[in-house]
Amino acid sequence: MVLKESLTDLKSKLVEHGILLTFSGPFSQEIIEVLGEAIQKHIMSDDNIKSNTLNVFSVFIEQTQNIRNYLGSKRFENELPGFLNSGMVTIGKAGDRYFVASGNMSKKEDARALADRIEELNGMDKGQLKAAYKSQLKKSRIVVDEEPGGAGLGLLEVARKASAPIECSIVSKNERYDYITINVYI
Amino acid sequence: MVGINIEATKSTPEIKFAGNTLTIKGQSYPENSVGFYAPVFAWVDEYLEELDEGKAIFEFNLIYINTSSSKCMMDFIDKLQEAFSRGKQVMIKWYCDPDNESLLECAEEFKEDVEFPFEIILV
Repeated sequence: MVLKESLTDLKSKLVEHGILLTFSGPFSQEIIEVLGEAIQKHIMSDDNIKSNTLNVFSVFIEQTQNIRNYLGSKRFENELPGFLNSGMVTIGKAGDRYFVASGNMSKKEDARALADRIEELNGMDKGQLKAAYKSQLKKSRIVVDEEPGGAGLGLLEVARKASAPIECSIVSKNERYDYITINVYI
Repeated sequence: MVGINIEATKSTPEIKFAGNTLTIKGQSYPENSVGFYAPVFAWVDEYLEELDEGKAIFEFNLIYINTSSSKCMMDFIDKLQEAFSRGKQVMIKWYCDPDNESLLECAEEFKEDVEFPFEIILV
């Protein structure tokens, strides 16, 4: 009964925030692919916002793959089982724009570094972002996939697709971990 | 030499070789891009090594590639440039929907650094 009520409550909240699709749980490549396919179908049927369909998809892929790489990097002890291992992603519509919001548990120092990087990217214009992307693409031509975020291109790509400054918020969970949420308007 | 024939999946492109043309078609956002492209690159290395007077054509017909796949494409194009510098006749035909600004821009960026023929064909 309690669950039934809270699901109704959750559903109203999703509608209220314009959320079309949401997933919370362990990110795997399979989950990312299935959600990606749903996004492509959902958004491609929306004639009002056709031109940036692929941008929404692109932000979704970079964000979820970043989270998967980060949480999968085996740097975590089993301190917060379940929570630590899982990510959250949400795609919604606000007015005539789509947004992709995602969240995951993060070590405090990593959350801070990410927030700083986002602030830095928010301060750059489209031309600067493009130049930074190009130089990053050409800098280290050997890709090291094992190093999460090693290529550093994912977040740059997200910033290039964003139509407003990237929003980032950090909530402290305990003395070592924060929950970091990133919201991108496309 | 033995050809290459990889079927597409949701997150990886179809990769086929016929005549003198290698075609890469579809979407690319695999879990591990380096792992996915490693055997393709190994094949390309061998193919370029054996290529004498003939011309090798590389056709890209992509809809979406993630950033780690872009890195791999960059390595791929470097490889072709290197072969061209050794006298191999290589060329790229990059097919692109003009509305797909991201990929068009991506192709233009790749083209900047190369000396061999790199044709962007809007379809």
